[in-house]
Amino acid sequence: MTRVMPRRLAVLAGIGLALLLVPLVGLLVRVPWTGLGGDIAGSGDAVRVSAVVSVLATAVAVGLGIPLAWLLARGSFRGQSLLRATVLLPIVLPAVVSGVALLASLGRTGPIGGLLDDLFGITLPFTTAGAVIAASFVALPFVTLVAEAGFRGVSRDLEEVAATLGAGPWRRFRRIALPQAVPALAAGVVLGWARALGEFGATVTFAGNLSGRTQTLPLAIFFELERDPEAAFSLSLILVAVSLLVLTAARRTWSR
Amino acid sequence: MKRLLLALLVILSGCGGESSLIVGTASSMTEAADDLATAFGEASIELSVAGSQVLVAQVREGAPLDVILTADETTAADLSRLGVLVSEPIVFAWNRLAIAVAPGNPQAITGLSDLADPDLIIVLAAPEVPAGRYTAQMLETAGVTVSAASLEPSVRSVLAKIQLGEADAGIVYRTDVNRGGVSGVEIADDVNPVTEYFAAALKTSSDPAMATAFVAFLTTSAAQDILAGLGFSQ
Amino acid sequence: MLTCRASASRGAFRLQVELEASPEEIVAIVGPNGAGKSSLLRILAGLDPLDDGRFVVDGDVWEDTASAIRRSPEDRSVGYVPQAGLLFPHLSVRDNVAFGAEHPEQAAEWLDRLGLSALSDARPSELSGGQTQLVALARAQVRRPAVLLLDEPLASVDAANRAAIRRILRRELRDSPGYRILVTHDPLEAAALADRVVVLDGGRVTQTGTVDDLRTHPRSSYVAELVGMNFFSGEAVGGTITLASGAPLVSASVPDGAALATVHPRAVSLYLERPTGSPRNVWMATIASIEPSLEQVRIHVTGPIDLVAEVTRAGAAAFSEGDEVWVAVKATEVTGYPR
Repeated sequence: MTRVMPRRLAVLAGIGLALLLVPLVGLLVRVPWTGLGGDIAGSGDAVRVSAVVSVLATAVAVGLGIPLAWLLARGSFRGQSLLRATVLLPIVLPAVVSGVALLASLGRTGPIGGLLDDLFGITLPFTTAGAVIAASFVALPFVTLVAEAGFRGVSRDLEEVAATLGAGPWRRFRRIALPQAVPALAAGVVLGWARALGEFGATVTFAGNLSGRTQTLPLAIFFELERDPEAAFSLSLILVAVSLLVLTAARRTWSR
Repeated sequence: MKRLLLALLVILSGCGGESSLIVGTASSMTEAADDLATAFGEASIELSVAGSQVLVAQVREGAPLDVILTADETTAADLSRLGVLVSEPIVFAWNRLAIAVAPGNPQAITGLSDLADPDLIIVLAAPEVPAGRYTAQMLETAGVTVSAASLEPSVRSVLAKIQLGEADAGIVYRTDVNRGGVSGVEIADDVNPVTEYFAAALKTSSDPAMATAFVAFLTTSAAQDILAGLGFSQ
Repeated sequence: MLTCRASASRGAFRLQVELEASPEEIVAIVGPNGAGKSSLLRILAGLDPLDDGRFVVDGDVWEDTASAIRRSPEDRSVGYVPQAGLLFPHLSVRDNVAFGAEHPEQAAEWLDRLGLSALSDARPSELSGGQTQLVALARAQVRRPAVLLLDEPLASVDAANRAAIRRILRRELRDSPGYRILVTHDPLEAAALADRVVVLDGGRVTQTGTVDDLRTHPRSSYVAELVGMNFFSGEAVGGTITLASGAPLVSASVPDGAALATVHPRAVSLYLERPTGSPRNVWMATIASIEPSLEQVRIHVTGPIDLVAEVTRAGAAAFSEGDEVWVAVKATEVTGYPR
């Protein structure tokens, strides 16, 4: 057995791990364990809103991200790299900028939001649908990015064979590419969901903050921090635990 | 992150020879604090703007502030309890609430009772922040039930939602509607609470004497004229 | 009839081919690596476009650059068996075969016919190279394609199973209606499976004919080597062919003029002493290499004329590399024909 880890890399890796772990340990230390149950029970609305919003946002991000990923992986057209950059933009944008951009376009006075309001009387800000859109906006790039990598790993040769067997583009996508990209897609779903669950800035900016409607767990934590910091620690712990659980479980599934 | 930035500011400003203070400022006081800092003249002053409750949390976690200006008594009392103040907080400015509406008041809102209309999109400050506390208290006194579309994290984001046209009306400080982008609707004085701003110097200040001097300056007539000019009055 | 006039470029490589096939024959496209065999097959399958040309099957135009007609692969009646099978890894053997079928039960019929029924539920990763090829064949055949295309069908089959798989392949090809075209680099495979061979080299057809035609009258050193013959080119006058090197080679039957000639390696005799008797072609040469195989030994000699002699193992024992030997070839063993 040869040593794979040069010592200096091991040291840096250790520091990196510490940077990630220390805040979590700090959280564990500060969580008021005795009041944990009460804090959680008191945030039922936020948990429910978070569950609904994150799941719906993931569904939207998957539904739209997979076609986008396919376009990026298999397409060959001018402006493709610009399109990819655009798709990935929300990953690097501060969430509040995403929220401002959503307000500017889908808000009541935005070009599209205004149209929706005039034609159908639909307004998105301050609604659960708005929170779903905000979360979808930030989750979509993750789903797209991971799914694109997955699709790139699917052999074109197999799609060609399928074509010679009479399969048109839709059937080739549906029966050949999609099943083979499943592990990557699963990873994309989980990452997208985790991102949607953790979304704060775009949500509070675009969808506002109303308990039971748009107040997700991260928003609840933010406001609890100003009223009852202990409760904020408890809720943060829940978010960390749930995210960790899902990421670990998913990792096990897709690496099998 | 904010604390890291503050620490950086301290290090950077500490490099200069001139005495400098970091003043934690409640967001509704931002413009006034800027003018007050300029008028003070004895030290260069950096403002660190946040909601009052966030300021308290920052102080609790050891942020290197010299002076703190909060927007209500609850936060001032919180600070006292932490035992970090040189002396008890003093009141140095007053404000009242007002209804903010789109410019020109297209919905023709005349008073608090109009806000009960369920067809209007109303945003309020969250009860966790001073403006929200005052608002909740006032609506209860007036016996008006408002179904808010959102309880915003700060009075400034209430204002922003109205400026952007996303909300039809909101309740903000009177000083906020004096600035552009919205129109103000007066609220009758009998239900409209007088809000108080508190100032205090922190024991942890790098220059407690200068910090105390700045707090004292706030009650001078020069400072009071500035505040009155911006609408901070009873 | 199937006729294809194909011109296509892939970077610096240029393919320029005219191909014809009838439903009565099995055609093998043979050539060295990089000759364009697989490219041609992909063009026929519709996977790559023609730059210029026309491809017609039974009067149906499948591709014609002049009138901008191009049927996509799914609209051509082709059965394509790619190299190494390329089964769909996430589908069972049955589902692989059923993929192109109109009715699922056709898959079972074909699996049965190729003796694969027991493997119906297996995953492609569990199959041997030979089984993979047969499943890939069944998958293509289930559609009863008008044109069946096989790319190196035996290349990924291990030696022990090759004969058995080749037998099944031969039977299937014989029993299939329609056009059957296979690509191979192995002359043995071509001889076993095909009626007619098209030799492709450098993107062009250099020769076409039956395996026997190729064997007796190769038109290039590549083909001669493929069929294992010594090959010469020169000018014939009065039965003597003067090779490019100037060396003479006497043939019992060669018309005057530009000529090609073959000599079977077994017709080349090697002697340590100058042979007595009648051979018309005798010269001294050096043994360059000795290559034993199962029964025969191939001895490469260099001299005025380079060639290969095939001798028995016992006969080869007398020689070693570097030896000076006498080479003798009877004039009746030199098959000459016009170039």
